[in-house]
Amino acid sequence: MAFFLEGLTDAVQALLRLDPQVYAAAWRSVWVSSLALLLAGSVGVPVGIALARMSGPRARLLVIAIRASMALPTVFIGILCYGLFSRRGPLGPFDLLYTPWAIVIGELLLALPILIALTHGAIAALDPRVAETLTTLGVSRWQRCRTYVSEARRGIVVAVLSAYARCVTELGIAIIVGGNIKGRTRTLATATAMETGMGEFGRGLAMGLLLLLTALAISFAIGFLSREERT
Amino acid sequence: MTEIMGCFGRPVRWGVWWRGCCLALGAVVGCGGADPQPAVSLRVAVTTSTRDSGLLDAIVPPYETAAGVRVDIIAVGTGRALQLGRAGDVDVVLVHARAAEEAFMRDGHGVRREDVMYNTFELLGPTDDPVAIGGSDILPALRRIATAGAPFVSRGDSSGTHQRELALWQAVGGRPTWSGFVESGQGMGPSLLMAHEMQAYILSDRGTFLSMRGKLDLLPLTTPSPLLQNPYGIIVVKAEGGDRLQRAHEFVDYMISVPTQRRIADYRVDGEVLFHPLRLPAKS
Amino acid sequence: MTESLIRVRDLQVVRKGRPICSVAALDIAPGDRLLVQGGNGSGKTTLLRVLAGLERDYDGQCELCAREIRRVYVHQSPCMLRGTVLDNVTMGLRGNGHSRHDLRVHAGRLVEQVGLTSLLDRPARQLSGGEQRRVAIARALAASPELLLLDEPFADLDADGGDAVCCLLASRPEMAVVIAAPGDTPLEKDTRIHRLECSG
Repeated sequence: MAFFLEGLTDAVQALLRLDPQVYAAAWRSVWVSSLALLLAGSVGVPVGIALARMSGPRARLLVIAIRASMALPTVFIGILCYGLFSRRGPLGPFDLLYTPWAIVIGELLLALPILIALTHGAIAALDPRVAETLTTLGVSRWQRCRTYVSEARRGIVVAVLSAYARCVTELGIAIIVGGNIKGRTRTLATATAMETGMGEFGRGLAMGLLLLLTALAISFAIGFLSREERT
Repeated sequence: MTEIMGCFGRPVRWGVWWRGCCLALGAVVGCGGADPQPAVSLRVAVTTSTRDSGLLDAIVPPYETAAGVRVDIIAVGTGRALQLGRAGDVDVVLVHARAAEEAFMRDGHGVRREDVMYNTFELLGPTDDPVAIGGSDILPALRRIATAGAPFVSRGDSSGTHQRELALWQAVGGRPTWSGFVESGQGMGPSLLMAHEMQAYILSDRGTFLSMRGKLDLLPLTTPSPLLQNPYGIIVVKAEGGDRLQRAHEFVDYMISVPTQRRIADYRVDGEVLFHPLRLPAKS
Repeated sequence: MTESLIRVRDLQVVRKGRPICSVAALDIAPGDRLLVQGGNGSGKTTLLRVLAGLERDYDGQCELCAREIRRVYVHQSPCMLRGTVLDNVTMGLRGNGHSRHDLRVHAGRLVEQVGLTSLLDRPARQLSGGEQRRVAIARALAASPELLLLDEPFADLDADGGDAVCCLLASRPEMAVVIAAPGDTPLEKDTRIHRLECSG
């Protein structure tokens, strides 16, 4: 117990001391996953909506496949991306391996199925009269999209938050295609893993706490922006 | 709410939401994307031992400032580092597995190989040393561990340390199998922690052990031996891009230059020397 | 004799092996006022949905005479979308190059006609059932339909509301209107009545 408490004290102290390395890693985690999410969201939400509009056995199969890929292990995506970005891989010439952009792309692949599947679920659960009203009023496709997002915003906020949480905390992609390079691709998750590996229990715990705080802050920010309480 | 809804209720409120999200994300992304470091970079795959010991933090930043090159350090096991070199994903590898390095050169993946420094391996064990190997030579000690079936943590990740460990087991009669023998499949640090928790024996490089000594109830037990010498080599990976190759050569030149070698010799953790340079002129 | 908008012949809708709506012949021309009467379960709603193009799984013919006619269906219990009354009413208008000001004026006029002038900036879902019904009718009219399909529009309207709706319909003589209702309605006497047989 003493060991654990000591670690906890260390952790709080490390947080208060404002270790610039730790905060740089936290900041990197946030902006990398924000960018990944921005890209994934601009694809995933419309695809989710389109999927909800489709019917038939092929669409059902697609939905099942996408739902299953929500469980993709991050290490698997990491290895996949490594194969793509390696200098011998198909995307080798772009020199993406061991850059933050590689992590962005990996996390995009991680977030995409979550966003699509949860958006699809939220839209499919809408009152069918919403779709009929829009059809019968003959609204434009853009208007339809906007209304769906507005009607299903609660589900979509959950989709975005789940994807965000997965991205901010993921380790496999960041370590395989990011390489945990100090000051460049070290994220909170890889730093936590590294510190723990070196027996720095307190510092590892500090970063874990920071990870939690970051997730909390993002959740608050999105909750505030979407003003869920409104009808 | 009514005020910001303005004359056109929902779209404005919707717009606030949407623009707010985009702005926040955009700001985050914009700030993060700004990269103040030099754009010219060099990728070096090193073994975890060199990073975890803090040596590279002491000798690489001066080079980055002087040469205007950002050195990206990727710390992995020796096996993985050489694999990254073979794939052409890194420009330089700094590893410790002489046989594997030579194979790498023979296969034409590297264009230049230099000795840099050495340290030693230590056979560590719990402070109470249950099978009493303290003070004996490495090979008899390993034999005794195998016969007693004492707990032993192996790296199991084809790192330089793991390759040495396998060579040593070979020398005492083959790969071991007993229930106390576990492969961690992790880096040196996590493996040491595992040995510490399990009160097991483990082969470790001296550098990592010293840098983590305070957290471990493990002691070096065997006597020094040439079998435990651990030389580090640095390799320029074959590449087509002339610039990269040039930078890689320059970095290797820096690593084996006299001032750097002195810095390696002077590097200490808690007053203990971790690495011994191999390229200092004998006299100085 | 004007060309009819929609021609229905031998329409039969079957769900789970049970016929739920059958109509032998029905023609709707511009300006027609048609009252579909029948008891509960007689298939009034289904007929309206087929006419609106929302129900596509049927036997027989339901032909449009033009390539596309604007037809708007108003649900029995209308679905208000998130946002204000104004947002709802202008839903079918936006993106057609109207300025915000024009939209507001246009929507204002429609809402006034259904008797809800003061509610333009109220969230639509906070309105009462009758008010929502009127908003839904205004919303449908905003899309300037050639064929308006109202499913039991008078169910929860008071006398004033019913009159307002009737007035509004009367002000659009060129528009065909089909109303489903179980019994009598406050419509004028010249309304053609189509009785649906209970086919259960």
